[in-house]
Amino acid sequence: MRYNSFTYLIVEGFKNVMKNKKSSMTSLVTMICAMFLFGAFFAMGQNIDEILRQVQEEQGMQVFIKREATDEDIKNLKDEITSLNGINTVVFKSKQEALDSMKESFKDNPDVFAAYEGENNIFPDSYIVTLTDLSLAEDIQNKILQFEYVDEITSSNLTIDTLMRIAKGINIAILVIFILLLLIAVTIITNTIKLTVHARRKEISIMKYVGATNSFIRWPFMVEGMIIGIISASITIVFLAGIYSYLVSKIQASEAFARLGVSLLQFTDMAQVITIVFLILGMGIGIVGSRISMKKYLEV
Amino acid sequence: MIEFKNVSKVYKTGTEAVHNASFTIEKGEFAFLVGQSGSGKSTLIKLILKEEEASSGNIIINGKDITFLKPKRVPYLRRSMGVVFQDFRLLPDKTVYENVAFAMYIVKATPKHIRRQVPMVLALVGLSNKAKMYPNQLSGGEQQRVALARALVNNPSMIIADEPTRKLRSRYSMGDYAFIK
Ligand SMILES: Nc1ncnc2c1ncn2[C@@H]1O[C@H](COP(=O)(O)OP(=O)(O)O)[C@@H](O)[C@H]1O
Ligand SMILES: [Mg+2]
Repeated sequence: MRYNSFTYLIVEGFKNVMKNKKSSMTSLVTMICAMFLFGAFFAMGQNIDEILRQVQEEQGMQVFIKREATDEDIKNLKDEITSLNGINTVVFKSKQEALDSMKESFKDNPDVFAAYEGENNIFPDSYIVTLTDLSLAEDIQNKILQFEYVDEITSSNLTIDTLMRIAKGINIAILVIFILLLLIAVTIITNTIKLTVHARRKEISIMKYVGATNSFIRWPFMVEGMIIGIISASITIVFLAGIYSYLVSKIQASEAFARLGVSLLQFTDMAQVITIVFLILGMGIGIVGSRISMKKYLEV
Repeated sequence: MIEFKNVSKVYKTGTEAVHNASFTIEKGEFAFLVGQSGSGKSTLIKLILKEEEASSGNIIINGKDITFLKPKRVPYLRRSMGVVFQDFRLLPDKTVYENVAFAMYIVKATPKHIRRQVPMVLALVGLSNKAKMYPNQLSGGEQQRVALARALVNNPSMIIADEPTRKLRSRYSMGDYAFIK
């Protein structure tokens, strides 16, 4: 064996993994399950955030304008609304358009609205306002109500409130799962490394007697943990990508989903974050796990 | 230099292995410690290496009282001396060459230096032709020489050997010795 430090660490790390095939396998499988769970919830949360964002941009409020407003006043009102924070679009809907859309929805009974044509149109002019951030909805609504010539505002925030509550719940669930995953992973890796350390305790003590420092002895075991962590991360990502892409294509092909008018994220949109989190996790766990498991054996 | 000042060691079991030992081994001296089996010779070496803690007294090595040595510094204390342990303490899954090279690796010697130095000490102890063998393929005396090669390879300022003559099957064990360059 060459005592080149990098090769030494990798060789010793793999030796450790192979020495305990059974427990290495067990921890690999458990790590994959834990990481998969996290990945699944993470993907779900990301999608809900994304849908929320898409829905937000479409959902908005209708601002009805008082009858006495002149064309000039109506134009000024648009500028005032546009200048507010969090406004996405402001689209004018004239009373004629309002009447037309009412007639459209009662097209089986066109006579109903016959009396309201032209001068007799009782529908007001309005602006359809969409927002970039729905959390500002109430605030914006109050501000618009204070503008001149604003009669009333109607909005449909119900679905969004529900969605936002779900999103918040999922984000909390992700955090909890993340912490659980961390605890599970550290416990598993610690136990696996403990077995290897125990099997090599004599070697470890000899290394200490000839003057090896603790960090020198610890390194191959850290590498052992990192190898298990990185392999589980890689396998999980492949699984996750496959299953996720399959599910998304199925969901988006369904009719019910098409009617919602939103789209889901592709795996590639999230791959970077997931990869980085998993790899850092894998390596971090290796380091922490080996530190915990070696403590007892280094005290000679 | 090794100095013992009223050093005693009582094991947890209650056995007093070393009783009030005081002596000095100066630089350049070659010292023997003779005694019956069980008289505490190995314990004494363990105290020098801080493998065991003295129950009382002071041990001064190269002018430093090691009683209060921080655990972090212990590896450096051990590197300053080459030790041939009574049970040799060779790594069973590494070859003779690797066992010796290993001691250089942990002090971060360069690969080039290792490649030059290891064959030299193996030649010195007469094991050049067994470099690729594993410890369990060697006789007790040969294993001891591997341990000696490992003790010598980093050019330590002191060599300590536990029962170096036992494998000579002499009727009288010469006991332990310490040699300080
Ligand atoms: N780890 C230990 N725990 C308890 N007693 C020990 C331990 N090591 C040695 N002893 C006891 O200390 C005494 C001295 O042992 P040792 O130093 O090995 O003697 P020697 O090397 O001179 O043969 C013996 O009686 C032995 O049984
Ligand atoms: Mg002895």
